[in-house]
Amino acid sequence: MRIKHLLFTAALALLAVSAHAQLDVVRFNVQDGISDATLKANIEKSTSTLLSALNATVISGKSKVKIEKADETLFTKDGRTCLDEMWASSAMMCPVSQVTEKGITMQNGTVQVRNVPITLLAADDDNCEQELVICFNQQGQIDNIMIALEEHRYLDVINAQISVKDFHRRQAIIDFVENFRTAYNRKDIDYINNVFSDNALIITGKVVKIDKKKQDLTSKSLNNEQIQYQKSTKEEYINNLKKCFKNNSYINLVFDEIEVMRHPKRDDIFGVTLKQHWNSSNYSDVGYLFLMINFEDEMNPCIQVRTWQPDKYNGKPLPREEVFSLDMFSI
Amino acid sequence: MTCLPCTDSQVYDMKGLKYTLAIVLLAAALPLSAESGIEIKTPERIARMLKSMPADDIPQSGQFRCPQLSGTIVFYTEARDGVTEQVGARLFSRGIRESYDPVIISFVERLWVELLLRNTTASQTDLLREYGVRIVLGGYPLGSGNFTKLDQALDVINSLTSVSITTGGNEIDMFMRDSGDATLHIYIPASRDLLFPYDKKEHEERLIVELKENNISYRQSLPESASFTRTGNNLLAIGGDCYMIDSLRNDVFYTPDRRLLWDPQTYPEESMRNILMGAAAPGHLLGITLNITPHTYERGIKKFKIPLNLLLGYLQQQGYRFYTGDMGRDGDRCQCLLAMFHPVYNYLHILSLSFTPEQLEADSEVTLKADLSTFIPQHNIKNLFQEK
Repeated sequence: MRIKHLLFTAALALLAVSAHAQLDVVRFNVQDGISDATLKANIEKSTSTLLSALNATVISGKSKVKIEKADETLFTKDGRTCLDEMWASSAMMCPVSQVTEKGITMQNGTVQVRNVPITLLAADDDNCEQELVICFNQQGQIDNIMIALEEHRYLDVINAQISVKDFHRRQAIIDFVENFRTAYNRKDIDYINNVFSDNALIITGKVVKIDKKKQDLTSKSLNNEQIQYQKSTKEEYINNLKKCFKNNSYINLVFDEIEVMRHPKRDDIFGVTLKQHWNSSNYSDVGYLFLMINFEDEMNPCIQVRTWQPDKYNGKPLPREEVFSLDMFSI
Repeated sequence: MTCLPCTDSQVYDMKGLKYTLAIVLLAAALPLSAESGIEIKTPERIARMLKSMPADDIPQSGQFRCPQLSGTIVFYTEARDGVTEQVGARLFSRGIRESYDPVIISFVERLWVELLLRNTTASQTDLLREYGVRIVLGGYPLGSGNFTKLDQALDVINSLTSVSITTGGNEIDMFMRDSGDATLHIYIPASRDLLFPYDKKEHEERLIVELKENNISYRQSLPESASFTRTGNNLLAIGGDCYMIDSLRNDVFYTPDRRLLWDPQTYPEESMRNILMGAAAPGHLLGITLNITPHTYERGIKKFKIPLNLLLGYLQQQGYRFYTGDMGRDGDRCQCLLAMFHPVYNYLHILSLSFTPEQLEADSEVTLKADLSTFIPQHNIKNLFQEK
């Protein structure tokens, strides 16, 4: 893999010198799909900057993608984090100097651009030619970057050393989480009652408005929302859930972005973080759910910790580092 | 969900329908219930939709009109073994229904009913957002640009000149073009829970009943490629595709002199993996029966026995991709895993098997212990192996 990286770098550098041209520069055009001219121009600029920066970083051999200070506003904080995480798993470059693609406007006004060709330098020959999906917010800033291939193929690139037994256990956790979700949709309170440990720690976050009169002058102009956390017992949680089931003729929970982590010292303890979309007759919200699951009894796993946090406050997404995860709890 | 107001007579009719359904369900479910703890009922999603329909006379299976929702669309229900399992708007011709994935077509027709049950475009787009579905007419999602009413999409569907359905990723794209060159895309998340009318519990129960009733045998499928790779234990393998991890593969194993491997004493795991991949002599497969412990939502489902040949035959016929792996030994017992991935609906069944080399070599029939987990969603996994 390293040899491939070096070869690419050498080839690009050589061509750049011999042709006296900036071969790292990529121009991106939106063909159709976006009627707002400003948004279209912003997306073209953001994407051209991103792809050119990838190539320039490959040539320079730097460990992190360098974006000029003036261009940093072309990315949201999440978009920049996403780029750095992808680069950490594999350096990548755009093998063509001109890309033209249509923009896909999503229902919430955000935009996706698909089919952007890239070469993953850390991947093997069968997997190195890939396509990016780039997601933009309503202002045309890059908010997310994904490899446009099936999840299992992408993971092939980075998960070559995992045992079949570990795979089996982690899929059992996904299965458990899906059963847990199904229980809410079926309003199966007995199932939920059974999977929570009697001593489960249950924490629920709630966005509250701060009384502006009580704020000092400096903070007044900044944030006016904060998350307050409330702890409840299993009994309190189950009782509240019973009322909720009674008051809603219909509940549809959707789980997304599931991440599974094993406890560093306990093989039978796992942390699962996911995005929960709660849809019901009377209410809907989106938030991060964290579950600490004990698999000591494989046939009867139980939840020892459940936390919920809103996905955004103060008009911004909840920072990733604030989302509860396994390492925040001692066992 | 917004429920349309019902008149008293409609309420009476709905009660009548429920009563009829309950009798039929009871009759259909009893034999299975007694045997295996499985009681097949109308899926809750369908029952809820039927309850919301402002129609006078909904048949258990057949066509009906519902002028309060649409004066032009014909609605229908479908039943299996006396259990109503689908309610939809008849959008597509028989030709289209027979040519394309019936699960996707049924989903779109069912979705249409759910959309029509909502009064406004705004509440229809709310439902689409909840489902993660996008209906895009001429580049505009419903509720934006010129696409202000769902009926505009119906105009395209009613004069179709071409249809294509792209599957295989995390999103299904149903693309339609009409005689006036207008284009309509319906983008659907490739999620079992959305595409099927059954929740996980209901689907698992149906699967187990279908497995028990199945009589389709496993077809042998030797790899077409002759491109061998050498394995760590000096065997040769053909396959080359893996699922999520490098050691879960669709490999078929060969001896160093390129003969299909069958050597239970020296290579029991690889011999079993050849059986699972459909690359062993029929005699090696036919003698094996599995005693399966199902790991399902409903814990009351009992263990059941099924010939390995029929289990694999059913899943092969349903379009699953098979990947096998070695889980290591537990004393003298070998443990293999078969992951069965459905590439359209994005879920996984996992079968783990425990056996001894002697059982594979036995001349008489053998029963092996197995565990089966079903309908494990794969579309919503961001990272299965997260590290800090």
